Amino acid sequence: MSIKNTVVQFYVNGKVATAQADDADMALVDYLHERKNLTGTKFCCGIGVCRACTVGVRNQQYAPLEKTLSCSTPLSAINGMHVYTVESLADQHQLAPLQEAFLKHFSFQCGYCTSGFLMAATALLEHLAITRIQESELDAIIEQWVGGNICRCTGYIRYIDAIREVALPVVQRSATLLDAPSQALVATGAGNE
Amino acid sequence: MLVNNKNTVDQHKRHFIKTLTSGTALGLTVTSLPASLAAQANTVEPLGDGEPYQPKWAPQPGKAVQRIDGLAKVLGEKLYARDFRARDFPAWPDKEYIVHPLRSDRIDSVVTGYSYSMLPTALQPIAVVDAAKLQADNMSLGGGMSKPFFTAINQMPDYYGQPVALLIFSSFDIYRKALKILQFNTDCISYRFVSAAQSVSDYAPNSNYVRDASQGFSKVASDDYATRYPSVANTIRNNIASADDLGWQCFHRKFKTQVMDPMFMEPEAGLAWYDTANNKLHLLLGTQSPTGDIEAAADIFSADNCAYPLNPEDAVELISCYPGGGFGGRDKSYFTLYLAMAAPYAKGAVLRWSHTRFEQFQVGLKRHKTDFWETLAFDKTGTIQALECDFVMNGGGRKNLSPYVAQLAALSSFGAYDIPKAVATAKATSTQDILGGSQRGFGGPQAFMAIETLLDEAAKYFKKSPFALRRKNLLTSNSQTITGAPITQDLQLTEMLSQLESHVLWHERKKAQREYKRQGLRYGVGLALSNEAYGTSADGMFGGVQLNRDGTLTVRTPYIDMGNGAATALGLAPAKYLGLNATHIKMGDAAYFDALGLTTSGDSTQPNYVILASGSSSACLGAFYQYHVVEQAGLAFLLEAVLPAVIHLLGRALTHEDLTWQEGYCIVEGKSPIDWSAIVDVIFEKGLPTYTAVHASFVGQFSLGNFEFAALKPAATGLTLPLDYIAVGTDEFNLKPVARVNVVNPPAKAFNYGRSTYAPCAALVAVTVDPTTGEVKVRDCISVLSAGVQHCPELVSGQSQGGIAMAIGYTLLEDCPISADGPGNGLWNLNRYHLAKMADVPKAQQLIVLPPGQGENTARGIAEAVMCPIPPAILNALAMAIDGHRFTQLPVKNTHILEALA
Repeated sequence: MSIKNTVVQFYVNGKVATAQADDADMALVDYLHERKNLTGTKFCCGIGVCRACTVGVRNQQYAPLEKTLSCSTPLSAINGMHVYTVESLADQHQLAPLQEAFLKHFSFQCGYCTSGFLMAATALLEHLAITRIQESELDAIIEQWVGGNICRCTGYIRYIDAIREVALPVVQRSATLLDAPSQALVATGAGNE
Repeated sequence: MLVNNKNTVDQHKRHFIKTLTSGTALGLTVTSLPASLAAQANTVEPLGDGEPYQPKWAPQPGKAVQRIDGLAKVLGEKLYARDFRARDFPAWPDKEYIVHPLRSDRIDSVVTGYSYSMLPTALQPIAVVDAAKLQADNMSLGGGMSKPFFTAINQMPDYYGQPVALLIFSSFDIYRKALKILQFNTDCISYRFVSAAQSVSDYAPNSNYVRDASQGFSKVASDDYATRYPSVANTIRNNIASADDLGWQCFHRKFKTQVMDPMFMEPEAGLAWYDTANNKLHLLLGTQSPTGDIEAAADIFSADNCAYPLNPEDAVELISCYPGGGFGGRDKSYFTLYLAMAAPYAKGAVLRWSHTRFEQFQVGLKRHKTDFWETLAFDKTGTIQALECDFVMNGGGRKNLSPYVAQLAALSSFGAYDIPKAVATAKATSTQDILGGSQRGFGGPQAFMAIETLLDEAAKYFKKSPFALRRKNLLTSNSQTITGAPITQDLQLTEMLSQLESHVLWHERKKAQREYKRQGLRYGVGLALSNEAYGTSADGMFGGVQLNRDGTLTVRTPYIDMGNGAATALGLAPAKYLGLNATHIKMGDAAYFDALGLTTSGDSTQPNYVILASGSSSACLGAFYQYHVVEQAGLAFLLEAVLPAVIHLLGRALTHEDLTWQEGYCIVEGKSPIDWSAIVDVIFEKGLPTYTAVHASFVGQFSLGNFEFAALKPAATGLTLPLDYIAVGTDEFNLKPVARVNVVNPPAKAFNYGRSTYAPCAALVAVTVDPTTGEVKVRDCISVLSAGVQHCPELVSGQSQGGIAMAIGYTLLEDCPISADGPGNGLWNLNRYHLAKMADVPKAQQLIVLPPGQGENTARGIAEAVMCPIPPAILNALAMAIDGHRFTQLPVKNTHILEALA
């Protein structure tokens, strides 16, 4: 669908979302807040440095989840894409493993950066599920994927501990499933930022 | 089930009359978020699988397995002021207007005009507010404001970022589009250059602390302190000047530290609605000082002929949200006053004001640029004989808490050492620069940087290890502080040093240095010891416990959790006496306590008289002070509700000491365990109290009140508790006091202590220096902390880790220049301001928390303490790495390293 027409169409947490062409230059974080009342995604710096505004995006419905900075992404750039916010992680009965781990490890304090860490780490988990890495590489991969997210309260260590706890079984499972080293994908840590 | 049923918006509110500084009496209300909006924040998920009636977040008495506010935070629920919109409040208008300020970015020029004519017609504001408008409407300055809201036309800005006008837009969409045109647009404000010179004056009060143990002279000991201190100070200065004659060795350095932004993650934001039908102002904010803020906000409307009067009976209501970080930067922030002032100009709509990060850098409160010097004089054995120091903090264009930050630097200057002669002076200056204020450490970081680096320098001179020199001079239980206050705690200083001295990081530092040298890196390990005070010189505090019909407990507190974990710790506090953790907590709940009608003036024999009011929410106040009152509220509830209920059930006289708790049952010797639900039923059926509220005052020690509890009569005449007021009841806004027979307040001299409670922290920090790039990397950090009892070890550890990261930023990375190129120009954001990221912090850091000292059964406030030794420890490590070079200016950047190596 062309944005020159009347609307931009994409998906937010699995539901169709539309925006008028007049909003095409609106930052995704503003759209989530003002149009969808989804305020779990946080605005902090507005220039794509702190990554508190990180959301997950799939280019297609079943494409790997990539992390995206919603403060710096205009709606025109996500036409047809699937956006996932922190509000999508749990259902009525069950937290996501990362959410459980963040709670267990007392990973956050003020919590304003938490949704950004959750979404970046969620994308990391999907990446690890299709990538073969050595367990010894995990901390470096975590730092590649969430090391740019700023937390002013915690000193990061409890975030790392929680993400490692959830990611390690994924790494081990991937090593079993992807048993041909030559086919291993290279972990780049790159999202579509 | 994760998601709670939404309740209806709380309608049961009361306002309470306060007399403002202007003399006007107004009804003001501060409440926590209504339960329907706070979602999981204040009504965390219900009971867990642990002991009966224990919440899932804390299934064992006094033990948390997650933060009480954790679930809401991982679910991304509405918690922070920035999350809310007018539509979230059914009683408010749906219409929401958005404000954008036109801010001055120069301080050397007169503002000759402002313009928004570059906006097309469709994007024009619906209202404009400026100095002339405020004057015409007879709007006053808020309480404590030292400068006007706006730069008036043909006037110089009082500071960088002072607004010239506010533009109010009728929708977010218009605001969004207008912002693209207005932001960074140099045509919005026109100037005429006048002078680059600034006038500098002092913000009162200046501080001085002079002590000479040989004369028995100190602020505490000497009634004639005010008249004699100049001459005693001169004598000490003369001693230092005659150091050679006295056989003293002096170490003297000048230091400079930079302006540092607290960089809390949520830029300040809020909603305001001036209800024209009822002449009432509504505010929604995340602030560390809601009670002070609401009074200051009301002052704005206090003129007799103000165009926007407030209904004296029900003037202002402030809804207090969880702040997205604080670190002191939301303590008496001026954002509240600007939001309040602007509210009426939204013409009956709700006004939303959300700082951009650029604005937050421009006008948010900062740690001060500080110029200071210190002289430390030793005798030939290495015993400290005298200290002289002076701190000057650039307070910028608004007063805030700056002089008191400077004051604490002077009060902290003696560090952890017994210094018989001391002269410490400090002041904050009024300038046009960016705004200084409260920030984590509150002057302590500067004070410890001076003494801890000078001690290291002295150790080298005396050819002693830095441990030995420090150990020789440590405070003991017989020592006094710089004010002459006694040391009342076991500071555990010797043990702290011993822990670090025996640590492998210290033992093998030379070996590690050789190994890093082979990699082309320089290496050093530095030691520092801080003795940060917690609490202020005199603290009043409230706490409350409420029993709900389902048997769960709600903690009531006016305190704010800015992320430090206070809500979690306070939620554990009822467990000591009631065996139950709180399932709910209401933070920022000042209205509950205002209803008690306590007073600090008038006849001290009045039953509602206490010596101290409740203050701001500094992180250092939670663990000891605020926890104390919630714990004691649990005891009051035990005495006034639970004990009578158990007596009723068992039909025999008992005291509260006969009751213990085990897995949700009340245990009375010789009787079958009593289910909590049976006690709860009796309490509600017999109309026993379901609410308690208590107040305590602390000045070096708690006020001790003797109270008559009906359930203890006639066996006991009264019970003495560290409280000065207790009230209970079944109507939360109509509690009745428990009879106070008498109260013994701290002695008058205790008001001169300055500080009396301390949380020492020592650290070893290892750094490497890349001599080719100048890059400094913190490799390792071992902290030893005297924390007393830990309410929640995970929170203590998290505070330490966060404090270390912030200290690394302060020492090596963060810098807000006060010049025209700094954040005052409105162009700064995280692209220019660098703070510690994941890669910058050592992952193998270790925190050793010493067991509580003998007889110590309370916690210490450690949120600031854990940060304080790190900057001097890094500087001392750099001295080892770079051949003894002493850096005396922060931040130490790569260029400084390269210069030192050149």
